Amino acid sequence: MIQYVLQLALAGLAQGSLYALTALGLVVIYNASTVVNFAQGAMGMAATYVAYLLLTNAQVPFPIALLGAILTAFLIGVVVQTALLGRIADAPILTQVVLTLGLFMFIEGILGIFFGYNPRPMAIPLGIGPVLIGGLVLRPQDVIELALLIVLSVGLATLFRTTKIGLGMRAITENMYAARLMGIPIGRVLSLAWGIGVMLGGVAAVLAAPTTSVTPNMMDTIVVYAFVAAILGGFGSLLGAVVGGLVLGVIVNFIDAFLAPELAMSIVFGMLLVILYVKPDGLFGRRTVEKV
Amino acid sequence: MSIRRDVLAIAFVAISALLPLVLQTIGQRQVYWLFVVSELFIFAVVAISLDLLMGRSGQISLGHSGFFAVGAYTAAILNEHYRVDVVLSMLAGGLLSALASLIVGFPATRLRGHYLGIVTLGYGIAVDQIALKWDALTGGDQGIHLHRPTFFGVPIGSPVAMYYISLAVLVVVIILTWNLLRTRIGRSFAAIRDSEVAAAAMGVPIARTKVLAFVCSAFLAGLAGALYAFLAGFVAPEDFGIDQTLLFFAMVVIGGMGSIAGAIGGTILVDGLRVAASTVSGLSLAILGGVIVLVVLFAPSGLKGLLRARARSG
Repeated sequence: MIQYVLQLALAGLAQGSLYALTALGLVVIYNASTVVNFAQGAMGMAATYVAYLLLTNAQVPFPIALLGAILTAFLIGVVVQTALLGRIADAPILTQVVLTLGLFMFIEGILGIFFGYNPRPMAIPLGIGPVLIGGLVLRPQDVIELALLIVLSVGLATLFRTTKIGLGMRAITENMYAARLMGIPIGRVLSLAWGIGVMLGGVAAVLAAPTTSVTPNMMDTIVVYAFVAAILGGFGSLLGAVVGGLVLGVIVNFIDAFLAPELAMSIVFGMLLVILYVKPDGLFGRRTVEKV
Repeated sequence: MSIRRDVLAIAFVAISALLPLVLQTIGQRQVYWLFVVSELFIFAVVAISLDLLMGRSGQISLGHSGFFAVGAYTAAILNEHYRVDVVLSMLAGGLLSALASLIVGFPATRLRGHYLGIVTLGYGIAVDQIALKWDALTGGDQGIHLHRPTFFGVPIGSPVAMYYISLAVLVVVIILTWNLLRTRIGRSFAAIRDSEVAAAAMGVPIARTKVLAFVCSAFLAGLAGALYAFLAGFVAPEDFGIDQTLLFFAMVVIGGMGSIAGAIGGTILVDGLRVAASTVSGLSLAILGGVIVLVVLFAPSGLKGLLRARARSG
């Protein structure tokens, strides 16, 4: 029994790393621009189609397909920020959120028109077998999910701590006007934040593809859990998003195994409501006063 | 302005009232078109309710199909077991939906703005999942077939009767909403939308006003849901998914937030597109999404703003 529970938890961590990656992207974008990107899943999904086409039509090795998806996602983020959101930076946040919802519908609809809604299977050829840890099994895909989460979050932490551009992003989070006065190129930093944020969602989507198959709505569930993960983490803390995603992955896996998989999302949202009652800023959030 | 609006309102009601006579000339297919337009009236009620929340009080909801669903299931279950009349069912549907909105609305008041969109999204998904799972009450994916509705004991249910009831409900909701917005409550909605800090300084109770906006909006959406159950004669989970929420959302944004006429115009446009483009999957979603992006970028006050700008320049 303990073995079974541990195995479920381990698989949950792997699944949770997808929520964590997507949530990390949401938080990077939110910290820079105070916009919750409701198109995060759709943008990642669009990038996955690039990986899918590279893998199936061009028959390239997986790392190159992943790179193609990463570049696509990064570009989507940069273009959306510079060409669309940058133009309405002074509009109310509600308006900016509405724009991301419009983008979500647009991207999903366009890919639906071109590729249809039939799920297309996509395997990730990795060339490694399952890993055994003390009798627990990690699928090759789980290994790569967890490994990429670690690499990308460490990379992100380094970026924010040590590089000039990372410091610029943190400065913008603290105070946009002061940052501008300090000579930080706001537009460029925002575009980069969007690029990185969408890229993280793209990585999650490509890694999710073997489980979900490639469809226009493949990310719908994952992105909703990523929202929850980001809220659990206080919507602003990178570490919070990672921990929130991993914890949520384990919880969802337990709900699927022991309670009712059809009600998983309802149960998760019920829990979220209770948590928000008790701790309105999430489990890792700091109390902040809303800026006027 | 006021005269122009009155003329518009009278023209809308007059054309709507006469439409069934015109449709008689097309023979058998009138039943379909009566249904389509009745459905449009009901969706317009939902769009007005969502606009009350988004356009007037500045709060977002991505779960309005959930409120619509609670109303529809309330009516269907009351009809199945007790044969409750249309008006009572609508009141019950509205009240139960308003009650459900308290679950979402209360924590919402303590949350930072962007959490609300996510929590309401979760609410909509949860209602859908529960409707599917709790089949002893809701019939699961089989849904519930309704008996012919009655109106104060008189059986009604002909397409024409349902058409006029839907139109009447829309008109009553327009008048109610319009009057609500001109009360102290309506002005406090606008106050918290424009600036919470300023509103609080003027003595508007922020939390209570936010919840009130939620409750009013959910009541109207639930009422519309109940009527929809009678119109369709059948209630099943697939009518209340995220797609439906996005349609309501598109109606309000494209029509122009903060305007009843905008909500109705948006409904006509969006619902018309939905009916016309239903054959290609993804087509209406892509068009609506693209139009929303364009509206946000170039015409922030939507259809309403475009028409008004033309009236001013012309």
